[in-house]
Amino acid sequence: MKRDYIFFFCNGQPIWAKGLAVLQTLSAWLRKERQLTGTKVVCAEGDCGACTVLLGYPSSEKIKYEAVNSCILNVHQLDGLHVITIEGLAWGDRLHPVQQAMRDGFGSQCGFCTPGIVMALAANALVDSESTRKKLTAKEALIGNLCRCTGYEAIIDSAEASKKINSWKLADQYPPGAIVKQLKVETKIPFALQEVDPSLEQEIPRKCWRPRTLKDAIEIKRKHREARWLAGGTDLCVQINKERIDPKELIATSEISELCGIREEGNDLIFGGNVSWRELEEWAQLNWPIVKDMLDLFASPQIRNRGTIAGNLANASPVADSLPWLYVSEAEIGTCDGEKWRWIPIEKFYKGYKLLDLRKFELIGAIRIPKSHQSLSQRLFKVSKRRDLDISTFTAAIQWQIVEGRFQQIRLAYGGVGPTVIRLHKTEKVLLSKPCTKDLIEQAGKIAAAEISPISDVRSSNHYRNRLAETILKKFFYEEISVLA
Amino acid sequence: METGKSLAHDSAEIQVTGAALYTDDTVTNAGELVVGFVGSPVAHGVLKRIDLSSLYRIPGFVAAFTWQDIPGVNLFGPVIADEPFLVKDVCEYVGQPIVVLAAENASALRKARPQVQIEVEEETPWLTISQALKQNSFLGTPREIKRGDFEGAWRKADHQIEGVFYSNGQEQFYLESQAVITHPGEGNEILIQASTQNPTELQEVVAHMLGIGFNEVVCSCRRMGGAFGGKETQAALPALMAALVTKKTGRSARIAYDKDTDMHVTGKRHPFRSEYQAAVDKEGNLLGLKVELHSNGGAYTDLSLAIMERALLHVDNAYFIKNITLRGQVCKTHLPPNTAFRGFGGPQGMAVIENLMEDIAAKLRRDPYEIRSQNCYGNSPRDSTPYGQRVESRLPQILNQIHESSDYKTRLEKIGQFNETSLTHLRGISLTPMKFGISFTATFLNQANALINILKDGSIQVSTGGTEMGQGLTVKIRQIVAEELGVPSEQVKYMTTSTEKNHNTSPTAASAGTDLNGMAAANACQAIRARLAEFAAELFADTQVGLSKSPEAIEFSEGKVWDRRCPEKQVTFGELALQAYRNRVNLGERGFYRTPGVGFNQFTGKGSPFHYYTTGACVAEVEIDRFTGQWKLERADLLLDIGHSINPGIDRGQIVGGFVQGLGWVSMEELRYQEDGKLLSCSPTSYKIPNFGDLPKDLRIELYENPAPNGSIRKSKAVGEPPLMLALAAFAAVKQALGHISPGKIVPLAIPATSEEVLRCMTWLEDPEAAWGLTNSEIPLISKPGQSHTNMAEKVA
Repeated sequence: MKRDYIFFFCNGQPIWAKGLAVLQTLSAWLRKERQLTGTKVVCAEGDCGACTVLLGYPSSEKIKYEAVNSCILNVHQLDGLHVITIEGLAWGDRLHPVQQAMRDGFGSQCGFCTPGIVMALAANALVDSESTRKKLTAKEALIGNLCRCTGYEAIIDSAEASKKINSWKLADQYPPGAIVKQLKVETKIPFALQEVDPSLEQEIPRKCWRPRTLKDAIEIKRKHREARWLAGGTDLCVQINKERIDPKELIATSEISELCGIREEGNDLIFGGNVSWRELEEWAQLNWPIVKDMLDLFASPQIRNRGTIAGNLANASPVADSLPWLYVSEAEIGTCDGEKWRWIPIEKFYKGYKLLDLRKFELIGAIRIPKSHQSLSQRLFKVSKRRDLDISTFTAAIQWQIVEGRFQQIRLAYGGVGPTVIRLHKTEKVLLSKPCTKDLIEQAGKIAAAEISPISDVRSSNHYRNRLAETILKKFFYEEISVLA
Repeated sequence: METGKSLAHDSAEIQVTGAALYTDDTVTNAGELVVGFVGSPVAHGVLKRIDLSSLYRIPGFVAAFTWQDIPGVNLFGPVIADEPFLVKDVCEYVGQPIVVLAAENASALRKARPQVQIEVEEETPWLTISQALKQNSFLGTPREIKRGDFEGAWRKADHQIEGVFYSNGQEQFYLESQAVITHPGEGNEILIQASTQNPTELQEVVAHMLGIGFNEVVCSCRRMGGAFGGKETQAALPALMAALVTKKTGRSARIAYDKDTDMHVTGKRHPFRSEYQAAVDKEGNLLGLKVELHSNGGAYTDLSLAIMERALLHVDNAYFIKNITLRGQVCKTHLPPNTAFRGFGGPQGMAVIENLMEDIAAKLRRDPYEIRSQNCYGNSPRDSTPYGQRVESRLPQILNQIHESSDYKTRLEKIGQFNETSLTHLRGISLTPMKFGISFTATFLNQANALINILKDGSIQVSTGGTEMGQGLTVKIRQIVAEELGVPSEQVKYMTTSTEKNHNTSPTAASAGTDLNGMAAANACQAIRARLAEFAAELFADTQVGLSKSPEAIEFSEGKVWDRRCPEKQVTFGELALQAYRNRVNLGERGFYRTPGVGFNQFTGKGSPFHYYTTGACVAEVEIDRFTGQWKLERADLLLDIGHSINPGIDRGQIVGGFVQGLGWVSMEELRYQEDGKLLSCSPTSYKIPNFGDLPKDLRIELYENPAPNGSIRKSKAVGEPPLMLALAAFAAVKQALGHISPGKIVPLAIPATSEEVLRCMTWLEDPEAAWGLTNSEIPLISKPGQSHTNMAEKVA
C-alpha cells in the first residue's frame, strides 16, 4: 500500500499536498502557492539564511522545532512535520519577543534578511533547559544568516533584549496534541509519488519514494537504477536549484530506521548514516569534546539540523570539514545493499575526485570508529577566508600522543590539497617515535608539502596551500606541543 | 522636536513580521510572464548567429527577443550611452544579454534557456588593468588634478618612496537581487515597478528603448532589499528586458535575477591600480605626491568616470599636500561594467594615501600616528585641497580626541611587547582619519523636489525622489516634515517613490538622499505652513479681545495649532486642515532644493565640488595568526562628526553597517575570475561577506560633538558612505603588524588582505626565497580546470 499525498501542518493549518507540487522547494511553495512571501530566497544554497523557517518534529506528545533553510528542502520532506514561517510566528497582533526587540532595536534596515534572522533567533529561544541541546549565543545561532546592512551589532543587541521580554509558549499557540495525533494518522503508511511532468518534452514521470526500511529502499533502487538518494537535501537540493542536475527519481532516506542513531558495539562507535550533524554535536558534547569543537566551525545551525553524516560522505568534497578527522580516526564506512554490509577504511573508500567505492545498489549506512581514538589527542585546523560558515581552503587533522617526549600514534590528514583528503603517511613516518622538536617539525613540513598536489581555485592559490602544509605543522607545534614543554 | 529622536525604521514592524513587500513579493497578475535572458558565453567575441528555432516546441514558452526587436534605441548609459541593451555585434563580457526570453512559468523558462543556440567567434579578452594598458584600452579621457611642483619636491626629497598599490573590487551583495515588474497601460503607456535607486533613469532608458516619450512611462519603487550603489544604474538592464516583453506581448512581465546571475552580470566596485611617488622630508612631512590611478571599468562607461573623479578628489584624504599631481584613467576591460558602490571611488583613493602613510612610518621607523597627525589639514594655508576647496573641519581635534579615548599610545607599546614575545601571533594597531566630500560631483544632480499633501483629517503624505533601501531615509524625511508642520511623526506617511509624483529626480546616492530630499520636503512644508498660519491667524483673530491677525504668532506643535498670545484657544492640526480645505486653502505643495555654492570644473580639476565634508577617524587593533595569515579585528574605536543627527538610532546603524562593509572589502571579500573572464566567486558559498562572527569583540562608537556643524538639513551631516572608509584602519593595522617582522621594510600588502595575502606577505618578509609571486594584478585570475597550476595571470614584474 502506498500513499500518494503528503501531509503536514503549516502555521497550524493542515495541508494535504500531492503531485509535482511536493517536488519543489519549500520556499518556492510558500512564496508561489501560499503567498507567504515573508520567507525570502537570496542564495538558494543554504549560505545566507534568508529563507529560514521552523521545522517541527513530533516526538511523543511534543513537537521539537528546529531552524532549517527552506530553499534547500523539498516539500515532500515535510511529510509528518509542522512548519512555521515568519507569518506564523506572531500570535495575532502580539509580536514574538524577537520581533519586538528587532523592531525596537534597529535590527532591520533593508529588511530582506530580517525574517530569516527572526526565525533563527526564535528557534534558539525555544531551546529549553531540559533539552540536550545547548542554547547558543546569538552569534552562534546566527552563523547561518547574512545581513549586508546592519553590521550585525543591532541584531545581536536585539537578541539580548528579546530575552527580557515575556512571551507565551509556542505549545499554547500551536497545541501539539492535536497536531501530533493527526500527523500520525495521516502518515501511517509510506509515501510514494509518480507523476508525469508536462514541462518535460518526453512523458517521463517524476518519481519520489520515502521508504522506511533498508530493505524497501534497496528494492526500489534495484528497480530504479537512476534514482538519486536524498538524505537531508542540503547538497542535492543546491545542485538542483543551480540547475546542475535534474533527477527524475528520488529516494529519500530520512525515514529509514536502521540508519538512525549513535551506538557502541564492542570496541567501536557506530554512527548511523542518518545522524545529523546536530545529533552528532549533542553526542560529542558529552562524549568527545574535541569533535564538538570541530563542529562549531562546521556549516550553520540550519545546515547542521538537516545535513547528515551519510550525505556529507557521499558529497565527497575534498574540503569537507569532517573528513580529515575521520581519516585520522581511522573510520570505516559501512555500505549496505539491503543484505550485506561492507566496512571499508575511509582512505580506500575515496578513490579519486568524488569517486567512491560504492556499488550500484548500495547506500552509505554508517561510520565505524574504534573507541580507542577517543582517548588520543586530536586537533583540527580549518583555514578559510571567513572563520564561520565558509568552505575550507585547507583543512588538517592531527592525532597524536606523546610518550616520553616522543610522538606516538601520530596521524595526519589534509584536505583541500588534492582530489581527495589524504593521509600523510610519509610525514607521519618522519614524526613517529621521534622527540618533539622544532627541527623535526620543520623537516616534517617539507615532507608534507611534497606529499600533496594542490591546485589554484576560487578559494586560494596552490602556493598558499603548499605553504600551509608546512606552517600548519608549526602552528600545531607551537600551540599544542611546545606549550607543554 | 521630532528630529533628533531615535524613531524606529519606517518599515520595522512589517519587516519583522514578513509583511513588507519587495518587488518580487508582489502578487502575480493574471497572464503575467516570467522573463529571463541568455547571455554571452564568452568575455569577448563576435556574435555570428542566433538560432531560436527549437524554443517553440517547449510547452509554456512564449517569446524570444533579440536586438532586432527593439523599437527604439539599443544603447543606454547614465553619462555616455555606450552600452547596448542586447548584443548586436560584439560580446564584451560573460553573460552580457543577447536574447530575452518570456515564458508562462519558471520551469518553462528554465527549459528554454539551454535551447537558445548562440554562435560566437571568441576573441582574446583583457580582464585586468595591466592587460588593458597593454591594449591601450580606455573609457573616456584621463583626468588630472594638479597643484604646485611635484617634480621639484621629488628631487629635493630626503626620502623618495614609490610603489604600486592594488585594491580589488567588491560585490555590493544586496540581499534582494535585481527585480523588475512591468505592466502595460493604455496605448504606449508602461508602468515599471522596480528595485531601483533611480526611478527617473529607468523611466528614461525604457522610453528611449521603446521609442516613446518619457511621459508615457511611470516608474515606482516601494523599497529595496539593499542596494549600496548596485541599483543606481544596474537596474536598467532588467527593466529594459521586462519592458520589451510587456511592449511586445501586451502582458505584465516579471524578472527577478537569482543571486548567481546577479553576481555574474552586474558591475561591482572598481578594482584600482595606483602607482605612487612620495617626496618626504627627514621629519616625515609629505612634501610632494604623484599618483597615477587606473581603474578597471569593465566593458562600458556606466559611472566609471565619475567614480574615478571621486577617487582623485579623495586621494588627499585628511592630509595637506602642497605639491601634488594626480592622474586618473579608466581602463576598458571585458568584465561587466563596474559601477557605484558605497564610497564611489572614495575608498580606493583614500586607501592609496593611508597605505602610503604606513610606508612613510615604516621607512622612517616612526609611529604612523605621528606621521598622519603632522600631515593633517589644519589652519590656513594648510586647509586647501589640491582642487582648491577649503577644508572647514575639525580633523586635528578629531584625531587628538580618538588618540586619547582609544588609549592608542599605551596599546601601541603593549603591542610592541606582545610581538617581541609571541611565537604564534602578531598584533598591530592603527589610527586612520577620514574626510569624505558630500554632494554629487556632477553639479547638476544636486537638486531635488518633494510633494507634500495634507489631507482633510490632518494626515500628511510626503513623496520625494528618494528611495528607501534600508538606510532609513523615509523615517528621517517623516521626522523633518513632522517637525516643520508641528505634528508627531506618526501623522506623516512616506509614499511610494514614483516618477509620477516627483520628476527629473537624481538617484538616491552620494549619501545625499536626506540632505537633498529632506531640504526639498522642508521647503514645501514651509510654504504650506505659511498659508496655514495665514489662515489660522484669521481664525484666531478676535478683535473683541484685541487679538489682531498675526500669522507670525501662530504656533504649530505636537499636532496642535494656536496663537501664541492666546494659548488656551487651540485647534488640532486635523481640524485646521479641514477648515482650511473648506476655505479653499491649498493643502498641497511641491518643494524644490538645489545645493548652494557647489561647482567643479573637471577640465581644470579645480573648484568646490562639495557642500561640506563628513569627517571622522578610527582606531583598529588586529591580531594575525603567524601560521595561516588569518586575522581578526579585536577592537575598533570609531569617532564621527555627523553634525546634529536627525535619527541617532538610524545613524548608528549606518555607521556600524558601513564600517563592517568596509571591513569586508579590506579583508575577506575577494573576486576571483577564471582567465576566460568568468567570475568564479559568484555566490555566498565562494564570495564571503562578513558574518555575525566577524563583528569585533570590542566596538566603540562615539559621535564628535561639533558645536558649529556646517551640515545640511537641521545641521545634520550625511552618514551613508563615510563610515565604510573608517575600515581602512583595520587594513593599516594589518600592515603595521606585519611591519614588526622586518622593521624598516615596506610591507607590500594589497586589498583585500585575505589570509592568503597576509601569509604571502609574511613569507616574503621572513624568507623571500620561500615566497610566491607578489601581487601584480588587481584581480586574481585562475586557470581553467585541467590547465596549468599557476594562478596569477601576471607574474612578478
